[in-house]
Amino acid sequence: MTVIKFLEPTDFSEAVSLLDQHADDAKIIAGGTSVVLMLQQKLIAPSVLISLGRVSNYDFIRYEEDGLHIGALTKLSDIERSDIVKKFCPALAHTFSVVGNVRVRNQATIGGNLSAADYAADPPAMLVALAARVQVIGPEERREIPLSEFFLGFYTTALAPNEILTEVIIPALPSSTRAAYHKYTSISAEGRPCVAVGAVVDFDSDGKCLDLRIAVGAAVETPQRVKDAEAMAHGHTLTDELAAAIAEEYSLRLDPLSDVRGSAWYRRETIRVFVKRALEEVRHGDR
Amino acid sequence: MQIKDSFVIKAPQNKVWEFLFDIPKLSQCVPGIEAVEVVDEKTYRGKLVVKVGPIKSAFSGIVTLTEVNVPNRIAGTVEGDDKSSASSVKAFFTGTLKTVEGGTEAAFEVEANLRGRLAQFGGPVITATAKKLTAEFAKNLRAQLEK
Repeated sequence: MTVIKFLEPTDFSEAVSLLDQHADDAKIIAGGTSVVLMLQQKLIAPSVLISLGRVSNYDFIRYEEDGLHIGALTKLSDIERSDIVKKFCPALAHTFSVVGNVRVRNQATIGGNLSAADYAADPPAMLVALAARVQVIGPEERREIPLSEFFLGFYTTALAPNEILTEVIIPALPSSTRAAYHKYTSISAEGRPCVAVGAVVDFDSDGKCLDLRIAVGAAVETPQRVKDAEAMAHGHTLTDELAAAIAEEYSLRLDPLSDVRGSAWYRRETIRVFVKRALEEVRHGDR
Repeated sequence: MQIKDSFVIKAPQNKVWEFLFDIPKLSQCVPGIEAVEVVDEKTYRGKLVVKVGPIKSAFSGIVTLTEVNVPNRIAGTVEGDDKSSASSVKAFFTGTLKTVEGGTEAAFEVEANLRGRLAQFGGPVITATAKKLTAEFAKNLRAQLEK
């Protein structure tokens, strides 16, 4: 049995310098819900694990003037249950409440969830629709990356090999904004989504759409928005017909993948259904 | 898994054909290739490193040409394994060249079977990775031939 060295830095700078030092031999581990599975499946074989378990002060949820700030080491269950998050955007709290099951949510961190870039995850689609961005730290500098530019492909992010995600920021939402997250599971209720839809709509005083953002995840390699479809809503009332037309455009323009949860054909059909349903929820629901 | 693609190279067919048999030059076009060795005129041995996110695999294998139809068509098999992930791949491929306006149309078809731990990774990741590799190969090939 190979013994893996388990390092426990107490702050991000130390973690980054360890990561820089060990490079390919090391893997960052936070809650461990992704990494331990990969280790068990022998898909990775690092000789060093750099745990973020002792890094303090990064499990926070704060509402500031520019929006919601969530520390990378915040557990998904804390985000799910947070009154601050529920007040800011109930759909966001709901998104975190449907990830896996309670045991996973009690361990997994938002930083780990985003860094793992599993295409079939829940938070990315909702966070992309909310125009979130992430702060990351490297050996030389800290920088911000819009989430829309963060996911590059399967299990691949814009993080450099020696960078670690430290914070997620969701810009403040006008009070006229409503959001919805719809998770469609085709196999098991606590499983990964077949199609994930995050929808955010800003309405003017007449109830017409000022802005509409829909991100579809899990059916595609990285969360995708179709800007032409979103633009169809600008200045219009979100009727059933408009919702259906936008959903149709999403199902035509996206290039869904096939996996155990559904074929590409099936996903095209269900993207059409669930984009429409997410828009209906935005209309009738309560944020 | 099946991958089919075709692309036009702005170079004459004979030049493309010759390049395909110039193993040192051709192998430079394959992303992740390491250590190619010519065993005989129909057999080549090599190592291919493929990385998907945090998962890195290194396949050692043999390419055997079963059909060589100068200068139009080749067909063959690839068999390799990655001991660290207890995975193996077996693939059949065909490649055809055709003179068209503007150069040569190269078309290929690959039928591949992945077994072992990497196979449980999931269809879309494997297919997407294979497509990325072949697209990059095509891009490199064109860059070399259209110089």
